[in-house]
Amino acid sequence: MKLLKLLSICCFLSLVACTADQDFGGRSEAAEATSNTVNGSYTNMLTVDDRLYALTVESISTFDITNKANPKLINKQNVGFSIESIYHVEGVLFIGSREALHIFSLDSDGVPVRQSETEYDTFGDDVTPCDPVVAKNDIAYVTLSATESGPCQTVRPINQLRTYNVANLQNPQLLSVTDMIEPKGLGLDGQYLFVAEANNGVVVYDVSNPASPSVVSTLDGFRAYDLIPNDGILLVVGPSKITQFDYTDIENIRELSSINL
Amino acid sequence: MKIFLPIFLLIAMSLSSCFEDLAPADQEGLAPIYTDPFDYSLIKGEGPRESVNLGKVVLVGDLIYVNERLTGIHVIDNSDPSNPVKIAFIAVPGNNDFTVDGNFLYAGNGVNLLVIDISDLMNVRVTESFANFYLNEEFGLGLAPPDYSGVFECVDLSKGAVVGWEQKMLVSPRCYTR
Repeated sequence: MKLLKLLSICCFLSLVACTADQDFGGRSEAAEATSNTVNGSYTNMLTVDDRLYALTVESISTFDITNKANPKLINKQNVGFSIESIYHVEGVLFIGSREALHIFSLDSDGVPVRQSETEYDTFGDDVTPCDPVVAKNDIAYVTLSATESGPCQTVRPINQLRTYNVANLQNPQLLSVTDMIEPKGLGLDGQYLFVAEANNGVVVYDVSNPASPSVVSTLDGFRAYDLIPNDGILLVVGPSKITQFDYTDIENIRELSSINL
Repeated sequence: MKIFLPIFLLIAMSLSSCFEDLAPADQEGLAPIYTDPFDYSLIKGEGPRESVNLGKVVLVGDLIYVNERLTGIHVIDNSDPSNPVKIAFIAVPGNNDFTVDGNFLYAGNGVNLLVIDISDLMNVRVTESFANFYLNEEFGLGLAPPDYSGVFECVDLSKGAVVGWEQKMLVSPRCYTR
């Protein structure tokens, strides 16, 4: 039984604060966040307008936070096995889990409505790597990271970047698979996708053609756990250090600061 | 009945089990740290401190919030990204996950989910507590130490909600996990 298999994993989603060119459907305008919060890849809770979404191991809870100090639970529903990370864009929630990418749209009350569940498994049962996700303009970007030890442990190491066409939320289509070393958090700004490598800094891809991501820049020499690209500044979190880079010139990214916390 | 009990607990606690009939020797292991989910005295804003193990990050305008695993959240003034400055630490025992919306921090506190007014970082105020929000008996969450193999003191929920685990000498521990 899957429950008894010793595969502990971690799944992370990266939130990207970008204006949308296309409408994913659902509460498109209403779903624009009123706060200027940008969550990193690892978040398992986030707010959209007057709603707080919080994941537990198998469920998503929706709270009304019209009064932010006192949330009221308005919905709780089962999502799937070992869900761990959540990302929102334009009225659509992408939830990363042990086995699959779950996609929900938000109804007029901000309650999630299931659209699809896309399994990652192509190697047989129970191979369930970490899977942070970001999405924009009908494309979802997922990094899968499974290693032989540690929190992303699995039998067969899988470390890759995948892109999916999610124009039809109910039927995501795999577009590309790119091998990486040990990808962690990720973030999107326009045509550039930033991916943290656990022990190898950051890789920057041009994803203008999402079926064929190409490397435009790499930042080496540090450990990276999560990152947030925001308005020309890339924030990278390592085990004890926060480093920031100016990426306005994408082929000449320069370090701004590095602080040991 | 006695035979079925440990099997039920095995299923209920995933990979954890209880010793039946044995009187295990006193030994080192993990013991639960309990919290009264409505006692907010340990949730407080303090001056900045050093980090040991950073976790999740949230960016809100010029402020960076970054988790210190199982301990709380560092707050960094990033108005000048070439010179970020730590300004505070929000102590939240057992914290790994959080988000921020305006003046409110939604944060895990062991198995509890807290709502914290952070408009004054030196005087943060808990406004709501969802006790045992993350407790999950099927997966042993809040009932067994995560990422651990060995003996542990069985959780007794009548003592409170589990906010973490600590290494100590256990008296005849009756639970273990692999």
